[in-house]
Amino acid sequence: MNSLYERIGGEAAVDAAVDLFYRKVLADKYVSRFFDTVDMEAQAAKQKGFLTMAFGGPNNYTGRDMRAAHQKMVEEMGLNDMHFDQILAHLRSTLAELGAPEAIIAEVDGIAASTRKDVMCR
Amino acid sequence: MPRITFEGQHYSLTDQETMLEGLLRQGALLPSRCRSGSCRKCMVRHLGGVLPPEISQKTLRDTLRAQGFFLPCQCVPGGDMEIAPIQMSDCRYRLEVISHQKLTPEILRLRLKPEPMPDYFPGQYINLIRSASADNGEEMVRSYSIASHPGDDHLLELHIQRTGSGGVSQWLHDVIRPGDVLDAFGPAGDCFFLPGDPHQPLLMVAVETGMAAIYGILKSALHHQHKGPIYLFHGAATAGGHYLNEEIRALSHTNLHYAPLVVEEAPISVGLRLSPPINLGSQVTRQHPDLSAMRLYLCGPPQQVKDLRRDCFLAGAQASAIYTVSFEV
Ligand code: HEM
Repeated sequence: MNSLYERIGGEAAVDAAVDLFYRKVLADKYVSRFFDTVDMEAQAAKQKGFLTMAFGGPNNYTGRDMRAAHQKMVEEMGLNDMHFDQILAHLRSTLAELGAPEAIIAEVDGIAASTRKDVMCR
Repeated sequence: MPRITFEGQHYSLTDQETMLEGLLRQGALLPSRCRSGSCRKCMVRHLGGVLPPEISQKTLRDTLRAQGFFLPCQCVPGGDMEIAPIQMSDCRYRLEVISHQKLTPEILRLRLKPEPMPDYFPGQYINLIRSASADNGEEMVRSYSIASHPGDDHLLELHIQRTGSGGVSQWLHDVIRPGDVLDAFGPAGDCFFLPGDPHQPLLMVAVETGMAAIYGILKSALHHQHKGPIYLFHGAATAGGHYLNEEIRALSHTNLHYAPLVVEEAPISVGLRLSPPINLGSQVTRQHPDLSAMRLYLCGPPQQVKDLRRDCFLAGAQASAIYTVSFEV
């Protein structure tokens, strides 16, 4: 069986998803403030890292990297579980909009959800 | 085996490893995280030797590439290279104040003669230094965007908004006079014009003295004989804040559409808003509902630039086509 990442369509699928996902989170006033940082293009590149990871693709992120990436948001900007759940919802909507079947969506959701402890720095 | 020079040290790379791997293996202090070209933590600047491979600049905007920035985690160099950290060079130089002109009671135009003249792109910024003294305690540094164009003359033009008291801007307004000499370092910044598609529509939005950068960028575009329409908005809290009306109108480029706008701050209230706020972003996107084909330059105070950038992105602009610069005032 091919990996999830290959089944979804690899890097091309991530590229398609990044733009859609990023427009969703920025349009959502409940979470947009976290993503409104220095350079939009740099931020989009980071979200590509996020989606590659969630799609089970090749990445070098460790749990410690996940903590480091989100620590400031948890400590200084009040990032909490409600925000986390909201991001998962945007991830699912993004996949559905790109035509992914429920089973794939559930698989991606599972990978993203498994990072909760690290992202929330617990 | 390529040899890399970084901060005075030499590092030999094996044929298989990336520059990042080779440098870290030999103890170089270089931040890194994703090692896959996303996070940009390891970004460095090319100074000399073979050029970085295309893939190591693929995800960077053109104005970063033009300054030699690249990602060593994506770079297996084809030969020897000299690189440097991306931080602005803190090498200082002196600037003589040639003219000191109040455009409004709050906005000062400085024309400065640097020695030597740094290479710069209009829209980049330099840092001016107010040295430590009995009055102000510690040394203070403030960034100001460059409004001049190298084709104009051999002076740097800055627009200084007076803010609060005891800071750099007040000192520049009230104490500094023609003939005085200032210290500075820079330039830096990635919000400037590079020639691309000459027919692409350009959208420029300046807020307050964000007009300095925009004015420099606008002159660059005209200097490169940009053919497409240029839509220029200048948001200010009062009509008096449209301090470059005459200069802009004198540019009289047939494709330049200039709109000064007065923007009021939304009142703060805890009650729910019953209609969407009218801000600069909504005024701009109402006139240009689809920004997907445009290149955008947004300059001003941080919060306004953030809001504008989000509104423009949601109106279809590509992230890589949005250039911004902002400074705390
Ligand atoms: C659902 C699980 C999540 C995963 C797997 C994840 C993963 C990632 C990854 C891989 C990066 C790139 C880090 C880097 O390369 O520097 C990142 C950055 C980021 N994430 Fe998450 N993330 C998650 C949840 C969230 C949530 C809930 C938020 C906020 C609501 C968020 C906001 C951000 C922001 C703003 C950045 C960019 C940080 C920066 O600019 O340095 N993430 N995330």
